[in-house]
Amino acid sequence: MRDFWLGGELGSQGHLLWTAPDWLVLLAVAGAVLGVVLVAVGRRAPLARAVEIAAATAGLGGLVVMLAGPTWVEEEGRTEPGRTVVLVDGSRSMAVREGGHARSDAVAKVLDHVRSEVGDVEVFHFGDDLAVGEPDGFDLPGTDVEGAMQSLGERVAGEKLAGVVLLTDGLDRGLLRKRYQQEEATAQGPELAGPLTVFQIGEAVDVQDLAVRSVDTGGYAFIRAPFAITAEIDGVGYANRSVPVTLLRDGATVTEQRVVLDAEGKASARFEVTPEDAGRFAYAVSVPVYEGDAVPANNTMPVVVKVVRDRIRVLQVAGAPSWDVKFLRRFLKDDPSVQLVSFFILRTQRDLASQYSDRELSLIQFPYERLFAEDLWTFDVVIFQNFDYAPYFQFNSNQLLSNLAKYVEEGGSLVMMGGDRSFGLGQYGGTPLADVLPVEIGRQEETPDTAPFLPQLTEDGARHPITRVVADAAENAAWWARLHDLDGTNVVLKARPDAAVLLAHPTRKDSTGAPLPVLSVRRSARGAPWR
Amino acid sequence: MSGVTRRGALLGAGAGLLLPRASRAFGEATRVDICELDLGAGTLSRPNAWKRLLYEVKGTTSVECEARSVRLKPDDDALFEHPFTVLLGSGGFAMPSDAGLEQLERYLQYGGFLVVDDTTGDENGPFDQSVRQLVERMYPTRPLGPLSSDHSIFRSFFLLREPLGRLDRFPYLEGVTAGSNTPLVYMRNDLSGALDRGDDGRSTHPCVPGGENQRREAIKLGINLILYALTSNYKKDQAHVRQLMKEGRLE
Repeated sequence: MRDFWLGGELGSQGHLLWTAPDWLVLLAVAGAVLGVVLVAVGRRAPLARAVEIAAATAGLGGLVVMLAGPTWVEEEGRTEPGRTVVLVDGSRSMAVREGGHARSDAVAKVLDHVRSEVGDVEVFHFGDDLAVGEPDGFDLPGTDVEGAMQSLGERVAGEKLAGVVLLTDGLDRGLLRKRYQQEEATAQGPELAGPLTVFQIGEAVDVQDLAVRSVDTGGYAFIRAPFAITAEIDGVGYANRSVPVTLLRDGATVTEQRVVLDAEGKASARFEVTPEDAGRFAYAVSVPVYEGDAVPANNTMPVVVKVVRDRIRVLQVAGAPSWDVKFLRRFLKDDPSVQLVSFFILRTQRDLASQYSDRELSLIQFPYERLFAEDLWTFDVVIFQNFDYAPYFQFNSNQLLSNLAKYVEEGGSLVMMGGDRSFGLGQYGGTPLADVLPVEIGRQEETPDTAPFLPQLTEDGARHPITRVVADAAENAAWWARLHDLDGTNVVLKARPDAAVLLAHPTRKDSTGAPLPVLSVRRSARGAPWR
Repeated sequence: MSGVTRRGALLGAGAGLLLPRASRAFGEATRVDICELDLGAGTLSRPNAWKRLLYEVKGTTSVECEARSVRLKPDDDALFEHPFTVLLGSGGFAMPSDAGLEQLERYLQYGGFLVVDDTTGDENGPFDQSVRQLVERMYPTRPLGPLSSDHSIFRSFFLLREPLGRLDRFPYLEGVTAGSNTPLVYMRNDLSGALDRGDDGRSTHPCVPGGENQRREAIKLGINLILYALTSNYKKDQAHVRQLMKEGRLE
């Protein structure tokens, strides 16, 4: 019964709490007093009055107690065990070999030991920054112990850890070392998120490591135009020493210079090179491997430089703006070795009847005559991106297409990209340009195949540089197999005998029964570039 | 471009056989439509505004359009099927999830385009505050800034002087520019309000203070935004700038 009225059993560790605000309690008390006074007023027998006052006092008193909100409060809690965090130094110096083994080999053993001692631990690795998990390799360029500690403190957000275990060779390259060198280390160390235990990895001896840390070339260069190759040299244990730095091309020495490492063991070397040939060349910057060098593998750094004849001039002509058109423009514009001239048809004859006057527009006339009669020969590549010539080549269209065919025969490159304005749908069948395309197209407009499909890489495609997007053949085939479906294809008659089909339709056949060509290339009579 | 005027029109009229054909079903999936970004309470949907804009684009330009709009969450993969995305609203809205934010950033990085349209015209209103918070989350090192009056958006199809919408309160567009590209544009004069219309075809909101002339300019801005989304900085090419200056259309 007591439990019923109290809403359950009261624990012995609790205490009573009045939850109502003070003003409510005072108001209730005042009301109760007033009620008792009102009951006491009036004439009646003294006994009756006493009984009435007692009853009113008891009733109103109970009401006041109820309004005051009595609550029995019990508190309980439990103590969670703190977390233990392990910080693993993932820097290059941990890959130093000592006694036939890399220093990093000891990391796994120490981690096993820590786990056997404290159970589950959370592992982070660090170089200049802190990251979750064990390091994939020991190749991070820096070691910032203080930064790692601070980042850990921010991650746990004030939580006190059961322990922080640090696995490092102690070759710090952050603020901690600088302050130590400036004799400030004792002033203030990094704030710790918990008790620190340090496992020294490797022997406490001075390491010597001369290395090429980075090589910058800009990625491309032009024939007979000088370009710079800049290398950053880093020598632990070689401070203030002079070392030779060698530039190699395809394994042969091009030139050599000496640099003096500063007090921190850093220096940079700058080579100026004037290439005489076009192509991709493997340059390398190298420093000697002296006796005692801890990591000989980092003394040479290779880099590939693409040398081009000159900036490639590309003419992009598109029949209408589209996302594809924008992509190709951005792709070519962002390539510093390409000089792009674009012309997009923004308005057709169909749109001339619109309500806007020419003065309101920012459009200029498509200078097709000048482009395909005079300027054509200045371009290395012409791209027709879903472009139909007929509505725009209003004069001499046959002559202009003949010019383009001659341009291709004489070594220019042409790319015709499909769509509802290309190939037969662009009325190119029977024109002079049709003769230089790698596929044959009919004189009549074709009916496109609008079923989505995944193009298949052919045998030629597996070898051709256009479709060999990665070096490994199997990986290349897998890359193409992951492509999104295409929305449809132009249906051409067949590939020309001297053309190479790089991509073909998976089910649709051409007029000879072979898989329908989707991407084809053909060299011109002069053996000039692909198109 | 002197010939595009009378000469071009006459040639076009006399060469009926040379008119471009209406496009076939080929490539239908890649036709341009508009995606409204759905960020929940605080954001709005005005499908009729975008249908109207796409009709105008189709009738005025060579862009192949489908007059439709879809409403997608930012973490929906279908976002990448729409080159032009809008976010319009009148109140504060919740930030997208991390996955949504990441996908939106990737979409804009890979060539997508987002127009943010504040329908209130308020200075420092709740929608404005949310927009600035969203942009700061996506581009912590590239704050929103006013676009110059010679930005490609003001000449991608029409030559425009200012960005008018239902309102004429802010004489500039804001945007985030990465290199030579502006993937995000912020319009504060209620562009969608000027474009919106009811099922009866009538405009839903009056344009103030300029009335129907102002609405016409707003439609031109909408067309320019779509052309910019598809051509990027094409109109900054020297061939265009030189010719327009020669003809006195550009100062």
